[in-house]
Amino acid sequence: MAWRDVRKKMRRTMADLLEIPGEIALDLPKIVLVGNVQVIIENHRGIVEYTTESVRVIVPVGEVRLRGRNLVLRNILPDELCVEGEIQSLNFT
Amino acid sequence: MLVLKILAYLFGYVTMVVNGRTLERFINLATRGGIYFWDIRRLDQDRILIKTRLSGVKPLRHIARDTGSRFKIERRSGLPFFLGRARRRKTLALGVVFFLTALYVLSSFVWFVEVEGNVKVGEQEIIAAAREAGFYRGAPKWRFEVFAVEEKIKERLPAVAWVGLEIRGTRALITVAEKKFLPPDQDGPSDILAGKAGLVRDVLVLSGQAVVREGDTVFPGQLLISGEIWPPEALDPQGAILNVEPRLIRARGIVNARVWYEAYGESALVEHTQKPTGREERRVAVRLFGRRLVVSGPREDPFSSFQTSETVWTGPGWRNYFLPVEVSTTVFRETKPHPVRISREEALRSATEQARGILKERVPAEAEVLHRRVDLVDTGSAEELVRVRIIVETLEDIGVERPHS
Repeated sequence: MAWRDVRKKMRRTMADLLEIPGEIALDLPKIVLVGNVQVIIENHRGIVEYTTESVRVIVPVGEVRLRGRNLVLRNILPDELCVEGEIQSLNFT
Repeated sequence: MLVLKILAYLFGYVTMVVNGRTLERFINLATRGGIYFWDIRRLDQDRILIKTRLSGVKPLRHIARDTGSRFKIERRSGLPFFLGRARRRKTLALGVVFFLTALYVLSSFVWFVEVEGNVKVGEQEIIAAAREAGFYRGAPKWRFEVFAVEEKIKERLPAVAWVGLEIRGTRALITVAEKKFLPPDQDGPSDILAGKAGLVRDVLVLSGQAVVREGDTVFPGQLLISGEIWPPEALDPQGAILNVEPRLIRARGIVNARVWYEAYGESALVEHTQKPTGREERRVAVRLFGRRLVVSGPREDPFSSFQTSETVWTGPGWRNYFLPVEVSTTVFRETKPHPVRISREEALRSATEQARGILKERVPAEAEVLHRRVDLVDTGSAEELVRVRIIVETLEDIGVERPHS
């Protein structure tokens, strides 16, 4: 476990040094929020739950949970996801 | 994303309702399998509405079976379905094709012919000449050549110097430039008369019979060189009148005479000008559909003597279209009389200039000026006026040819 943490830290340091965007080097999701009406999640791994009140999406570092009203999956591609509606919160779990 | 929408329309897409317990899994499997979904909307506990491409429907069956869900197509949209519907509505499709064909076919004819630039040559003549080259109203565009038509018109109508045929859509414009013919050189019998009064200095007869001699004073319209040649026997010293007819020829010659021109010019010593007093009024008026409404400022002219300056705002316009509203601001500046005294020399110069200007118009350019005199005319001391007279003496040909009647 400790060895994995050291490796992760080294990769982060290298990424910072070389100014490589985090989502590529560290395999992180890129989440763009447009006001409270649109969320774009890049680099996702699939959806766990979708209802009009809540959307849960698996991302490399865990799970992203969106809460809101009238949520619609505007777009869904293998690595990109776009949710529209009235967004109230976004959590990482 | 717009590109994806357009592609979806082109290849056709369907709106379907998916019914099942594990719809998230259904979406994940389909997405991983390369099927593109959009506008996913949850309807209730176990139903969602999705849109997907036509090509994705078939593989979805397997996914649906694996996830224990069923789907039902609600709506088919896009070009393939549209064409399918069009195939069913044959008359409409035929109408569309017919309309497009008619538009294309009709646009390949010339429907309007305009002729421009002709003054003496009749429009019908030009059109008739063009018809010979296969160009007429209703002619298909592929049946004539612009160059050939131009050549034909030029060939048929010698009075035409240049022809341009321009085709703009279904309109054809024939532009014509006509040759300019010089007035025919009249060679009939004629006399030379005096064009203006003068003192004859020399007469040079090229043909005809001189009637005046050097030193004669002539008046306008007086005969100078006659085109009537009498045979010598007609001038019988005995006075016997013989029955002879004069020979009529064209009289030609130069009659140089001294001509005098006179012109007056005057200038007041006191010039009455208007000088602004500094008081001013501003009036704003709106012109609406030809009617004028004073918005602010005086309705009538505010001063007894004034100068105005007006600025008009017409609003933005485009080509020939303008707003029917116009706002004009008029500034009235009050003025009062302001006499300005000018010196005698200045007045003299201005009067001379004035007289000279009048003479310049009257004396022909080719006349040789022999003498010029400037006189100061006495106006009496009461009048604050300077008046001058210029007399110019020239030597010029005063002969004017007139056809013999």
